[in-house]
Amino acid sequence: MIIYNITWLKHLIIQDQMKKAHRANNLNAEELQAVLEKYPVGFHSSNLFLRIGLFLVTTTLTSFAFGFLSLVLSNTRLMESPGYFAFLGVLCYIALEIAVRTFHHYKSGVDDALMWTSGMLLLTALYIFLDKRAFGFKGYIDELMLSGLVMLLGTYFTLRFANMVMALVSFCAFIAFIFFAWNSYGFYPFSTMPFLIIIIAATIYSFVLKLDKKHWMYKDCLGMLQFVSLLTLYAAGNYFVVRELGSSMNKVVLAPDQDIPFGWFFWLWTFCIPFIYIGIGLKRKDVILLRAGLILVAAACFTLKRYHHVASIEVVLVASGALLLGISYGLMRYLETPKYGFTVAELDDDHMLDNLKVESLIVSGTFGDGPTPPEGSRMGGGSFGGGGATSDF
Amino acid sequence: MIPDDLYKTLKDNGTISSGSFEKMTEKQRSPLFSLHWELKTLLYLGVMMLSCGSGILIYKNIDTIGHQAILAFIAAICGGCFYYCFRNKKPFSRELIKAPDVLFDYLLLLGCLSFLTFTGYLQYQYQVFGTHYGMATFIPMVVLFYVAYEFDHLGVLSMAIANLAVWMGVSVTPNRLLSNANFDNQTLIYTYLLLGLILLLAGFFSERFSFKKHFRFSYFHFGIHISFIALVFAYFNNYDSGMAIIWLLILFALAFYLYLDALHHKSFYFMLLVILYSYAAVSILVFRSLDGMSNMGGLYLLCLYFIISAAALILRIIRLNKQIKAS
Repeated sequence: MIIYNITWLKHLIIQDQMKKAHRANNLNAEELQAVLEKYPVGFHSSNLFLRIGLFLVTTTLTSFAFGFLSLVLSNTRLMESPGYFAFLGVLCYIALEIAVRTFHHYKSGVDDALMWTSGMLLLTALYIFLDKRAFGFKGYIDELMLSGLVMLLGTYFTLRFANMVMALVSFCAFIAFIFFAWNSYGFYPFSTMPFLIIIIAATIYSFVLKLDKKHWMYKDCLGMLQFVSLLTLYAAGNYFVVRELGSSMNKVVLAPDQDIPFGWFFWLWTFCIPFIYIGIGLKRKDVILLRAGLILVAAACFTLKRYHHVASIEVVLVASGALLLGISYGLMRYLETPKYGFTVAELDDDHMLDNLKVESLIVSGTFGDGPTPPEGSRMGGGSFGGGGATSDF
Repeated sequence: MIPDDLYKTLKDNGTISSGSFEKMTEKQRSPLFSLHWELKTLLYLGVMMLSCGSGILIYKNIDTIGHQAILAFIAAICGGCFYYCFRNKKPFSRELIKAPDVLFDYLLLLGCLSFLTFTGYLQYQYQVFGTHYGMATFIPMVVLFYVAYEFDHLGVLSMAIANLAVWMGVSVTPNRLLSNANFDNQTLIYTYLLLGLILLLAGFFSERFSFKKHFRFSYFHFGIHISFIALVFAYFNNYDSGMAIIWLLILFALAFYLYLDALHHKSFYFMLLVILYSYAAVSILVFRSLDGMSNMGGLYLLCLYFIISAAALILRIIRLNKQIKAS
């Protein structure tokens, strides 16, 4: 199913592994060179920046090529039919197959651009078809068909090109499909929906965990699936999501202090799941579980803040900021010498971002964007407004 | 993930020495789990929340606290941070210095931010610098540049560059540059251009005299964006006169020099920036020359131009990629 040369994929992993060992000073340069020569990789891949550049240029190329074709055909009525977009999509896909098979593009930017363009065009074809047809279906048929197509396309592209983002898209489409299907045909959809999604997400997670051991070619995709299924598993039982989505789907207006059935269960879920994730993540040393848990702690806090007034925003900010500083500083001190297999040291000094000092850019992005002084009155001591951050609240 | 016997295979066929084999298997046997990024993110969030929260707190209670107390408080934070940093810093060197611990970077950042707030507050409330606004921005800039070099902090360097731009009368973050679109002012464009060239020169000299060589990246990053955008806008500003083309010629000359430089340094990022900016400039020229044809022919030609040029560009970038990797 996978389009890439499997031997090369294996060699790629070996090369990466050995480069890491080289960076950790466990391997000298000659040995690394010998390994690289012994396990060659014939793919054409780009680093991050060239990938973005090639993506942009390829998108320019395809859009003007299709624009040209449309110009030529502009006098015929061909362009109005959904078939035209499907045709363009297939054309794009053929170009993709050629780029990958003949020219061995692997995550180079060209293949990414062609893949997404072709998927979007095929989807547009279905959308135009549904939009133009004379007869209407009841319920969520349109949504079902669109999410169904996204799911099928996403799954196909994931399996064939092992693309991580495609895996994410097809997972989301699958959840949307289940959501709409159960809403139209399900058994008491209003009350059973959260539990159904919870069960499905949990099933996917455990299934993906099993696959992870066998299918090394799809490692990135499976990691992504683990991450989103964990987030979905949480979101399906989160108090805010259940309450707001449930009431808006059923067009019920809830009073601000009105509770929902099984409210206690959803509150419990909202607060326990993040900590369970973090706990299991630390125990199994699973980065995905751990990071999902950390993100979800924030989500839990926002949910609480939405329904219960704990304290004013600034007090919460100061208190939690101080708490975070304290905890992270304490942990760093505690783990200065590795304990129980944990460490704070940066293990792999990965230079994949072209030595881009990402952090410095982030800092300049958040702080450097001060109010532009009007000409003639250069006010303000520099680029950071201090208390000026209040305007956000 | 790794084939279990990979190391053994490599050792058996003589690709790696037994010493390296020992080291790698040893590492594999006792894998460490790093919480580095998680803790660093938490620390960053903590600093952000704390400074935001205290900002709001002060803002809301300004009537009861009084300005002197607030100033003293900010000065205390600033002083505390710099005290810690001076106590723990490593001696100055012209090369890269690694921070002694993770906290160091963040405290330095907090110190600089509170210093900026302090001077801003002083000026706003008491007009210490009177109407010498240049002075009010010049002093923080000098301090920031000094701190950036003394403690070797790239984030502070970016802040210092932003402050330099404020001092020169413009704001510097790239997205801001485009969205403000306040470019009809002739002097503003020349100021931008001058700023961009100064930054490029600074980057060039950092490397030439090997004085904090790694700062070159930040200088070039800001310098390239600013000078190219300024040149393109200078062209549009003089669009109606025939002299406008001179600006684009300067752009191409600069692009050519930076292109060779990026090739020499094997920097994909700068290479890409130069290529995309000059492609945009060429496209502007082509668009202008085809603009005269008002019939469909112009549109066809434009499409053809983009198809051919984009294809050529793709091939060129791919070739470059191979070239850089091979060297």
